[in-house]
Amino acid sequence: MIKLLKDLCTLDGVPGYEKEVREYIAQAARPYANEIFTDALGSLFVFKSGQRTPTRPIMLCAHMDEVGFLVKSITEDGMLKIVASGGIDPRVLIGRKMQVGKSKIPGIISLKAIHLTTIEERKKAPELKTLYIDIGATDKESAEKLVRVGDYAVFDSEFASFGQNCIKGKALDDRIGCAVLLKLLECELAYDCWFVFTTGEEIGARGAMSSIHRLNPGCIGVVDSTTASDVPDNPAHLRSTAMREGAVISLIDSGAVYDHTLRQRITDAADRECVKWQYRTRIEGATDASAYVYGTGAKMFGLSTPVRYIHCANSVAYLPDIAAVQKIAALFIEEAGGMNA
Amino acid sequence: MLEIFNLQKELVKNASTSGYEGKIGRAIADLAKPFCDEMRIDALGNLICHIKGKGKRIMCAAHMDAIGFMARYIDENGFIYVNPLGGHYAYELINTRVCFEKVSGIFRLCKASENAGKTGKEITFNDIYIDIGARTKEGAEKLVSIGDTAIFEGETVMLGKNRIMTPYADDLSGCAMLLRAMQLCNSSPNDLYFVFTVQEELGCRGAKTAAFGIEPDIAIAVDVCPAGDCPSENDRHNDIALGGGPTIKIMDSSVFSSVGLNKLLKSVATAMNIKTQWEILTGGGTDTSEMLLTRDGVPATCISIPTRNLHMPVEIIDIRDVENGAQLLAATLRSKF
Amino acid sequence: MLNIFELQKELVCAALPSGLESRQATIIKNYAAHYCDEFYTDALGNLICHIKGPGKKIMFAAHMDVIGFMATFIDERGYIRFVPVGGHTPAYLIGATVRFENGICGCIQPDEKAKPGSTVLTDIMLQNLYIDIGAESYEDACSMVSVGMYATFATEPKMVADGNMMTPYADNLTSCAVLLSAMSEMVYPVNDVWCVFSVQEELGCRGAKVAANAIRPYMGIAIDLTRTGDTPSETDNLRMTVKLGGGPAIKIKDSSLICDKPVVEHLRACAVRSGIEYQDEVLLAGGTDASAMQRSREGTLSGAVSIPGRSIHSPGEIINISDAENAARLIAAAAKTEI
Repeated sequence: MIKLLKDLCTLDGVPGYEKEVREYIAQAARPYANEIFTDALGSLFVFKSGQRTPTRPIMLCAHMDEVGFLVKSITEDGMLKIVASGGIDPRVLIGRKMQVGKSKIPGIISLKAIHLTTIEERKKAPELKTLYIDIGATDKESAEKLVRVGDYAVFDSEFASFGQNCIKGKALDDRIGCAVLLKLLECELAYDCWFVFTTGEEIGARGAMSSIHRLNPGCIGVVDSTTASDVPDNPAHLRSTAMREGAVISLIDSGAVYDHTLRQRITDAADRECVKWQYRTRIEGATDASAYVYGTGAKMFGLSTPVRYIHCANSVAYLPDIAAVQKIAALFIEEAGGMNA
Repeated sequence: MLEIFNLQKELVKNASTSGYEGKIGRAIADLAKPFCDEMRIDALGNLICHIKGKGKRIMCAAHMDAIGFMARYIDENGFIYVNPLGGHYAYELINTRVCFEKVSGIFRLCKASENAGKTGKEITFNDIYIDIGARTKEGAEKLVSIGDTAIFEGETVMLGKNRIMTPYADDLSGCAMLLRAMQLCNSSPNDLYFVFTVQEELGCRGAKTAAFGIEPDIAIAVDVCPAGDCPSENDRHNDIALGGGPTIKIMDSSVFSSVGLNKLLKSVATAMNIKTQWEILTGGGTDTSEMLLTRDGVPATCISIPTRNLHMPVEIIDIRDVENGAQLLAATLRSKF
Repeated sequence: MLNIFELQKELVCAALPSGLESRQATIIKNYAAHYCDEFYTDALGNLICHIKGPGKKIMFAAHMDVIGFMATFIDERGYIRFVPVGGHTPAYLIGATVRFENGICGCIQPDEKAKPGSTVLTDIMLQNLYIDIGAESYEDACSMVSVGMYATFATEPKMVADGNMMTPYADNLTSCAVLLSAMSEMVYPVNDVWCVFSVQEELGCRGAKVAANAIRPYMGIAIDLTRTGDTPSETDNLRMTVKLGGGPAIKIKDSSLICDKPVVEHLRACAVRSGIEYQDEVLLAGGTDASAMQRSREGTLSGAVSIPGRSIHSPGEIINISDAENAARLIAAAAKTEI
C-alpha cells in the first residue's frame, strides 16, 4: 500500500491535467478490469464484475486531481504569476518549493526578506495575487523558454513515512482514495461495480457529473479525503474529524445528504467487523457526491480518510485509518448491492 | 402529594403578568386552601395564606407575577408594538410565541432594523413587533386592544427524568415550592404566613406592602437564580448547577442575607441530608430585600431554584431542587427558634 | 377539498429534515394513494404519483423536506452541538424549542462565544449555539440523542387572526397539503399528470431535479411558499407586492429562474376561468424546485404557484388558509386544462 501511495502521490494532476495519474491507474487497473475506458472529460471508468449483478449499477469513485496552480502570466523579470486551481490558503505557500509543467521545472514561492518588511506588512497574510514563482530565470525571455502561460504548477514535496504509522506528502487528497479503489479492484467482489477515477473534483465535481450521467447508478460511494482538524486551539465540537479515529463517514455536507439507510447498514456492518469509523461532523465542503443530481436518483454514501493539513504541500494521514477506509469501501459494495439486488 | 411537574403545568396555564395577577391568584388560592387556616388577598393583590401557631411569626414569599408584554400601538396593517412588563431583552424575543387573551402571535424583527447591522442590545422594543396574523388594523383590534397584556406561549415539558423546560419557572416554580412546603407543614409551632406576592418583576412591590402588614420576625423568599452549568454561562464564574440542590442566598445586588438564618437553614439541610448550594450573585434582586427592610428590619434570606435561560420561555430547572427546597423550607419552619 | 389546517397538524408532527423525509412521505402516500393511478418512491425518496391522462406530461412538485438541525457533537456535560439542515439565521434560533426524531425535546442557546448582546445579530455563528436537552451528563445525553440524529422545530400549528395559520414548516408542508387537495380534484385529467412530493429542496432542489430527469415532463410547476411585502418597514431592496390573503401567487421570476411564459399564461388563464383571485410574484431572493425542473435533461417549461407566507423558515410562519385553498383549486385547474 505504501509503495502504491508513494507512486500516486508523486504524480502531478491539477484539475484538467490528470493524464499522468490516469495513465498510472489505467495500467494498474487493467489486469483486473472487465471493461476500461476514458470519457471526454478525462475520467477513467473501470468495470469489474462480481458474484452478482445489482438491478441498478453501483459506482465507487475517487478523484485523480489535486489542488495546484496555473501560470497566469510571466513578468518582465522572469517571475511566474499564478492562479489557484482548487481551494488553497495563500498562507501555506510561502517558502515552498514548486514544480512547473510537464518537465517539472523547479521553482520557489517566497516573500521579500524580513529586513525589508514593515511590522504592518508582517501582520497581514499575503494575497495570492501578490505571490509569484521564481524559477531562477534572468528575464521574461529566458523564462518563456522553459514555461508558457497555462502550464500547471504543483507543490514539490517528498512523500515519506514518519512518526507512528503516519505518511506525509502532497496530493494525499485524493490519491489515497485512488489507492483504495485500486486495492479493492484486486479483490473478489460481491457485486458488479464501476470504479470511476474522476477529474476536476477540486473545481466542482465536474468529472463526476458526466460519470453519473453516463452510468446512472442506483448507489454511489465516494471515497475522498477530508479535513482532520484535531489540532491545538480548535475546540472539540469544531473538529469535524480526527486523525487516528478511523474511516470517516459523511452525514451531510454542502454538496449532498447521504442516504440514511445505506449509511446505517454500512456502519452496522463495520461495527460487526470491528472496523473503526467516525462521523464527519462539519457541514462545510463538498465532494464528488454533489454531482448526484445528474442521474435519476441514487443513494449516496460518503467515505473519507481523515487528513491533516489538507490542500497543503505536506498533508498527513495515518495508515490504519486508510486500512479502515479500505475495509468500509468493500462493505459499501456488499451493502449497496444488497439494497439494489 | 403535590407533584412539582404537574403543579408547574397547572400554574403555567394560569400565568399572569405583573399587575394583573387575578387569574394566577385564584388558581393558587384553590390549590392552597386545603393547607392553611385562613387566607386573604390584600389591597395590591398579594395572596396571604396563614397557618396559625404560637411561636415566631415567619413570612415566606414567592412572587406569582410573570414577566410579559403590554400592547401600546397597533399599526395600519395590524402589527402590534408592545411595552415590556419586567426584564426582557428585545433581541431574545425574535420568533418567540406569545399569547394575548384571545389570540396568539409571534415576535418579529422589523426588516429595516434587521438590515441596520444592530447588535443584540441595540435592538429595542421599537424594532420588534407582534404579528398575530392580522391583515388590517381593524382585524387586529377585534382581538387585541391597547393595554391588553400578553405572556409567553410555551409548554411545560419533561427533559429526561428529572428536569423540566417551561416558561415562568421564575417564579411559578417558586410558588410550587411554597405550595408543597405548605402541604408539608400543616401544623407548626410557629405562626406561618405564606405569601404569593404581586409585581415582583416591576420592583418587588407586593412583598413590601405584605411584609409591612404581617410584620414578621423572620422572612424567607423563594425565587430562582441563574445556573452556571451551561455553555452560555461558561465565562460567568458561577458554579451553581441544576440538580445540585436548592441554593441559599448569601447576597445579590439588592441584599445581604441574614447570616444567622443561613446558618440555621444549612444545619437543617445537613440534618436532613439535603444538598444545598451557596448563592452569591453580582446582579439580580428578589422579594428578600423588601422583607429585610420592613419596618425596623427583619432577618431575611432566600431559597432559590437554579434555573437556566432565565426570562426566556425555555427556562430549565431540576424538579428535585424544587422538592428538596420545599422539604428544607418546611423543616425549617417547623423548627423551634 | 382536504382540510389544510388539520393536514398541516398531522404533517408537522411527523416531518423530518432534508435527507430523511420518509415519515412525512408515509402520511402523504396514504392520502395520495386514493387520488392517483399509481405511485412509487425513487432512490432518493421522492414520492412520485401518476394520474394518467391522454395529453402531454405535466409535473407538479411540492417539496416535502423541511429545514432543521443535525446533532454532530455531545460535550462532556451533555450539551449538543449541531449543524443546520437548510437555511437558518442563527441569531433567531436562540430560545427555539426543538424536537429530535425520537421525540426528545430541548432548546437552542448561545455559548459564551456567541455574545448575542454585543454582536451584530447577523454575525452570530451557528457553531456557537448548542442544544440543551436537560441531560445530566455525557452518558445521560448519549442515552437520549446520538450524533447524526435530526431535529426539527417543536412548535405546533395554531390558527391566529383573520383566517391565518401560524405554523412551522408551512414551507413546504402546506404546499404538500395543497397538492394533495388538488389531486383529490384531478379525476380523468386531459393532461398526463405527475405529482411529485420531492426531497432535498432546501439543500438545492435536488429531489425535483432527479425526478424530472426520470419523468421528462413537458411542463413543470412547483408549489412552494413566497415572501410577502406587507410587514413593517420593508427595506427598499426587498419590496414586493405580494400580501397575505391576496390569493395564490403566480411566479414570474425569482433568483433561480425566469418562469417560462407559456406556464405563466397557462396558470393565469386557469385562474381567470376558475374565478380565482391571484397575485403576480416577482421574488428578489430565493428559489424553488421550478428551477431544477427547468434545467433537467433537455429543458422543461417551468413555473410555480406560490402561497404567500410571512417569516419563512421561522418556527412561526404565517399563511392564509384561503390562499392555500385557492392555490389547490388553481393547481387542479392547471392539471385539467389542456397544455
